[in-house]
Amino acid sequence: MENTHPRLRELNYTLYRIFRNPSAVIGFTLLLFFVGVALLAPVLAPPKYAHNPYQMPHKGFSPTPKPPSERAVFGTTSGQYDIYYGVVWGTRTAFKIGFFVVLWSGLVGVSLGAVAGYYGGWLDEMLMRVTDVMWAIPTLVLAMAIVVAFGRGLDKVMIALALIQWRWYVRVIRSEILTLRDQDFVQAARLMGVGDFKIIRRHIVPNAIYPVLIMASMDMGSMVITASFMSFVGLGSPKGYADWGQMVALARNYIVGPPDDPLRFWYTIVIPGACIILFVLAWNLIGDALRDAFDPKLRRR
Amino acid sequence: MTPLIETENLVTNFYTYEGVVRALNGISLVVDYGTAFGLVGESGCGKSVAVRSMMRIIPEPGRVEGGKVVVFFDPDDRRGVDLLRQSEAYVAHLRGNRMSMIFQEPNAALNPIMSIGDQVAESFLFHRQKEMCAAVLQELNHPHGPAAGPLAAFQKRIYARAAENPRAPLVALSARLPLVRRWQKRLKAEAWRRSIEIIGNLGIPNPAEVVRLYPHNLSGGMKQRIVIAMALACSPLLLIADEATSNLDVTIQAQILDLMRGLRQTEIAAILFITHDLGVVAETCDRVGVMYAGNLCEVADVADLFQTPRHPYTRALLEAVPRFHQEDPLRSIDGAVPNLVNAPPGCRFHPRCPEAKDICRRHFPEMVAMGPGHTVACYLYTDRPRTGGPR
Amino acid sequence: MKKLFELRGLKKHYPVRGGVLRRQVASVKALDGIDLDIYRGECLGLVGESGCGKTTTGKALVRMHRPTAGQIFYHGDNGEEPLDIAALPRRALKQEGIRGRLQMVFQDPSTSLNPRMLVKNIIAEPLREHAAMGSRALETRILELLSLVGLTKDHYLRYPHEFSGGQRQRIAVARAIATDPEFMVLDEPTSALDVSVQAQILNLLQALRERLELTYLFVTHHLLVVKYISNRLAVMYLGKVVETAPTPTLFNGSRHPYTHALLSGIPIPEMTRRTRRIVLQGDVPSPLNPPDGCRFHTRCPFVIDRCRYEEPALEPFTADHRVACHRKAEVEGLVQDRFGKL
Repeated sequence: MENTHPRLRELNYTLYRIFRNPSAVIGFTLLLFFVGVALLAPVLAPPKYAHNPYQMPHKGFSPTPKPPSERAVFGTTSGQYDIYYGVVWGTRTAFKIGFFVVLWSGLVGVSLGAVAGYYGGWLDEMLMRVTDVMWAIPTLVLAMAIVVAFGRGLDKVMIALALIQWRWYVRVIRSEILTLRDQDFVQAARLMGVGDFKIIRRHIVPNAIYPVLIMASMDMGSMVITASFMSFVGLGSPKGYADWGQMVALARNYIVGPPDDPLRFWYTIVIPGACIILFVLAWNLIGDALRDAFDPKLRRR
Repeated sequence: MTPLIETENLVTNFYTYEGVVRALNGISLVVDYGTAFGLVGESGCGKSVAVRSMMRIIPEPGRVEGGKVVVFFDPDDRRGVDLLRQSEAYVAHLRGNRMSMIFQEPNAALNPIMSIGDQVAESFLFHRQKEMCAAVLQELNHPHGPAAGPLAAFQKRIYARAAENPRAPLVALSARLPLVRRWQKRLKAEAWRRSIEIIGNLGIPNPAEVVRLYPHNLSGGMKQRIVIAMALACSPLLLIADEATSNLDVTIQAQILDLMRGLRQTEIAAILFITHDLGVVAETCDRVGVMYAGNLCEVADVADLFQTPRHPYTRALLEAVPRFHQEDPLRSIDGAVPNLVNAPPGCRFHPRCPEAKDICRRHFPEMVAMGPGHTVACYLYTDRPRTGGPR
Repeated sequence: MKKLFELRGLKKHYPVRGGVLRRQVASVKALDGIDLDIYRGECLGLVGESGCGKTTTGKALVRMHRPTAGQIFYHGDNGEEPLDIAALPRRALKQEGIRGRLQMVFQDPSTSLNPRMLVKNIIAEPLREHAAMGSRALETRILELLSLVGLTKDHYLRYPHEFSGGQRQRIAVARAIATDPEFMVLDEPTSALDVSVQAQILNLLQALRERLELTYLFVTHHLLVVKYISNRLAVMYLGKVVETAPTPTLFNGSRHPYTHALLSGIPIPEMTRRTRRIVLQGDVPSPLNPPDGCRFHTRCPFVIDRCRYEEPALEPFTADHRVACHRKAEVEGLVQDRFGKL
């Protein structure tokens, strides 16, 4: 223990704090499962169209779903799309959406928030007013505008979300930085003549990043929900694209079966729905565990 | 000397990631009626943990794991109550009524959105309702009091009842009913009157105006006085001041210390000062206990301790603070306070002690009497290890 | 003795804004005209109660903020013309090479060291900023600095939270002396530390001053500490210097009632019971709206009419003893009459 590098010791301690929390264990297990499915997608469900693996294969065009059978493990949804295939490749889609949106909005939000919080004054005032304007734009309306302008597609929805979501990060990091900016160690660095950019990079961001990480983890889940919602209302991926939201949308007419057997088509809605729920749950549990682990008040003693 | 509170082999441990922090390693001390006892030591020596263990307010992950805390409520009655064997409700009641604590940070004890008067009055209403009801009743019965009538008669009955038992069902009910509960106006007025009086007694100019202010209007020293006023509202037997003046300026600290000295002669049976400032101890206390790394090293009368310190740590500590007529360079104590997870075995001071012997490394020494009221735990004066207590 | 700094009429007012238009409605007069000389090689103690502006003065000297008005003349060591650094922009300070010569040690080492940086990087930061150094040379220099402050190679690769308070303050000192400064502001460097460690740090600072020929401005409210370490003292009250004198003179023959009150308020860890204690009434007035005339007149036990409207200037009483009090000639006697002999 004594001879290990201090960074390693810190990491050990952080991991200990994270995994002491049972919800973190559940969250990371779920996440590991989803990562495994996403990585092994070509093995688990070999694509039928090599050039476009995200296109769900379908046998026939009948609008009535078929129950699980040997040929389709989870059954087929409306249009005879294979649910199993869609769920497996939809995992990749979910990660794609989450990472794209969170990375972009995080990057933009953190840089703008750091600059605004650190420099203050009119620059801060201007950036925050721009952010306020962003807060006034409804996500759905922006997404619709983009889809109308550039055509339908999941990528358009992702762009719309990335364009909007950074406003959260700006606020969070700015408020962190406002308290950090007057800390003695930042003052000391200034006194040594360290440049502003270096101060932000070396002293401010590393100490302010934890709430952002927590929020990013939570956002990974919620962005997938929002994208699913967009697909559900018909703004997102085109028909047949392996996307959980799109699959729920396909099942729209079969949520309740015929009057004598209302649960007949349960598989069309439950399977992709459960995927969404578990995916979001995984990230939320992780976010929660991170919050506990990084809480500076609890961290030492 | 009659003891007010007495601890015996008090042991408190904290269970943390790094391991078990043995914060209190068997503390035995006595605070007598009519004295001011100072508990001094460096940060992390366990002085705060000691009083918090005595009051049973140890935060997680700490636990009081052994010993006794005996309180004698009556100077003439030798039968004490062991707080560690009482229910939480009993101790909670005691904490509010017979023992008050003042902390370093007055802001933590004051509600920022309540006026000063309301806060002090609340403390009075909470702790002295019975007594105040009796006072109001007397006022009502006074020949020059309010005119007789059905309302006055009702009020008299309620107050008579409340003066006997403030928790009587009738009183509790009538305090909640709309309109009817207006009988409490007189009680509240009485509480305010007393608040103004006590705030005035604590040397705050214009108490009638100060009670209308809010905490943010007051300076640190004023706030600390208000906290003291709230603590006094419950006429405590024992007042515990945990670094209560450490954050204050010299001239304000002098005012507060003066105030506490005065209180000890009039209001409170005993004061327990927790401080790291030997100067404060020298000026305000009668008895001193020196703590190091969870152990009590030395207990003595204040003059005795400053003139003939016996324990090597006490000596080193006294040489490490600058004096008024300091000529020579300060003598610092080498090394640092040990980490209490892996505390040194035996006497915990031995790694820094210039006079450490072989036995110091193995067993903790017993407390030996060195004179009237002067006890020391050091092998320079005994060769017997401690019996009882951990290790 | 050669002067290092000359402060002339130094002011720092913090604006208080109010209303919808954020117009300035008042100002906190943290420093309201400071005149002070600091000599090369001395340790000047700056004492006063909280809010009197002592820290603001220290921070102005190392140019952590820009004073509202007044001059700070810096006398370089090779006979250069004195340079007014009060209004120099940050970039010019760095170009003139003044940044590295003026350093500061903060009160609480647990907040003045970045918790996410290794000790190595904490000390390397100022070094890298002032000279291009190879990694080998850098490491040698860091180890040299660590040994100067009494730490060892074992402490090189660690995080601040792994140290005790005293050791952390040593790291902060090592960082401050890394660029070979001439002048250091020590802002209550021992008040967050324990008694036994306080002595270690004081002795370390004392030794470093002699060894590296440093000049200190020691800002503190703890009079016994400052008595131990300083040659000369300046007492501040509400944004003004009220008295400056060599330490022994100030402790034995102060000429300002406020200094007397401060001195008598120190709790002394000795059993020689003092007979007199001047307990001042009331609180320090708000720096938003300081009283007219002498700022101390609201609490002064010896106030006369003149104090209420005429502000006393900081004038020499003897050659090296300056006092701002109308009754400086009588203070000694007044204190004795009212409060008894020391």
